[in-house]
Amino acid sequence: MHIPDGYLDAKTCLGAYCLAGASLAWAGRNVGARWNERTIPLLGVMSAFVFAGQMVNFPVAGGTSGHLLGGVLAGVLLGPAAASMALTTVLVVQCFLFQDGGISALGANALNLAVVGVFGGCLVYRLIRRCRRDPRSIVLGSALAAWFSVVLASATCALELAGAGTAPARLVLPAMILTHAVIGVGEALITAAVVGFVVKVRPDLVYEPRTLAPVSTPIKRVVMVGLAGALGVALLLSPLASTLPDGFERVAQQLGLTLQTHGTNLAPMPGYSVPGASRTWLMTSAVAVLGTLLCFGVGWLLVRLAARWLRRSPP
Amino acid sequence: MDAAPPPPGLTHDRRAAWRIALTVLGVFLIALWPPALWRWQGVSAAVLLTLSIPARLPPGRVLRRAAVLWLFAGVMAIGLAGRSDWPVRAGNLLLKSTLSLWAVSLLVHSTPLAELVSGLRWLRLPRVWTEILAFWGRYYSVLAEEWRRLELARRARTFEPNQRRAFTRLANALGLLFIRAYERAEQVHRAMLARGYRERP
Repeated sequence: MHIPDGYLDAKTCLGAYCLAGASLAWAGRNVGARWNERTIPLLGVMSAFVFAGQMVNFPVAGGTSGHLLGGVLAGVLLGPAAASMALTTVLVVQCFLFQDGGISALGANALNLAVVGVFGGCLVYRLIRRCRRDPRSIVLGSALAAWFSVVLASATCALELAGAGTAPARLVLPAMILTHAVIGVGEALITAAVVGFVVKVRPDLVYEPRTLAPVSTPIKRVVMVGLAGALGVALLLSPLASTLPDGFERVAQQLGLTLQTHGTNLAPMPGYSVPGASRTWLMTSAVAVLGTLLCFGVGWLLVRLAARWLRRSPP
Repeated sequence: MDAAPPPPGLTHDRRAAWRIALTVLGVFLIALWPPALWRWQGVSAAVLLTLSIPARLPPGRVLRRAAVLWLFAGVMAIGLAGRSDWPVRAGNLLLKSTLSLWAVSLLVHSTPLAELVSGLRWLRLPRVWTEILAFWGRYYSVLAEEWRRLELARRARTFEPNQRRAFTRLANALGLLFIRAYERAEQVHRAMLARGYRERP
């Protein structure tokens, strides 16, 4: 499921890098708040553990063998933020030292496996843990979470390949989801068995979220992370920009109000197109990025003004 | 995360940093090159060849890894078969992924992990990431050895189990490996504190 180089185009690569970078920066802050200076040794050894765990071949029914992916296993035992960082380290190592997955596609691979896979799986796990609080729910929850994590990651991977125009969506999406629904069963069995053993032997090692003292984050970093996330969403979702009329235009058409948009075009970017850009994906992506920056700037300005006004008015 | 000079005592390799930066740039160029101009990829192939010969890059290793990519590209070609331009598209996937693989193999062959990490330090990657990578390099072999010992001990003390038992036994061993890894991380942390380690040097 590691995407090699050359399978994604520029906008998907950059969008995935932005989104994965923003998520990992947020994860890094959470991990730092929980483990303080233990972060580096813990995550270093744990990424080595995940890597070693992926090397172990499990006998699965019918003479075939499969191996662990480890996203949910690490998520259940260390928490989603630490798990996503450990898995990203494993992906970086696999990309550089073992040439498994491409450098340009590293952002996409991290987004699929370390962000969507881990956080999606851990969301399922937490939902199940919230319903039942006995130790059995840890094993059951991690099994279901592992299955969902594999399927979610494969679906994201398929959407990226389809969005980049490498493969048609109606072919790659069902193919990826169906194969990974089967692979996910193996992952669920292995994860549940390993978690079950750890719960039996060292139940204190299972991660429980606790409320942490709020950490003050420099505003510059918040802005950088927010902007990177917004740009990533804009770049990744820009192929979905619809050419159909939106709700407002449709109502206007039904009421017979044909908007005079042909002669005088007052909008700066009519019909979501930048003058001068010839390629359609480049155009749509550029508009998405410009729109994001514009909205971000306007929002930023409004917040600044509101803050100044609040400071001036008496409490 | 900040641009302050890194702490003394950690190596910062400028030559490795250049190699990493050039490889990453080259891979991005190869991977994002317009598919219609695929003949120009010959230039990158020529550059890689002239760099590989003095570096004595073993071709067998690259080819073995590339075989997996070719299989993958073949599967993608089946998916693309309906389109009129499928030979160009599938050929590009094959060409780009193989050339990128070659470039990364060259980097890893010419630069060991320790130098890669110090190159990344020179490039001012956030400290937490370079240190996690360095710890990975240190403790991966330790955990692999630990796993080998667990297997050896198991084989010395138990009968060969049947298929269903084999699965749970392997999962238990992996769980045990996790517990040992966690305890090792705690030991390493205590040892680091004992030697005067601080989070922010």
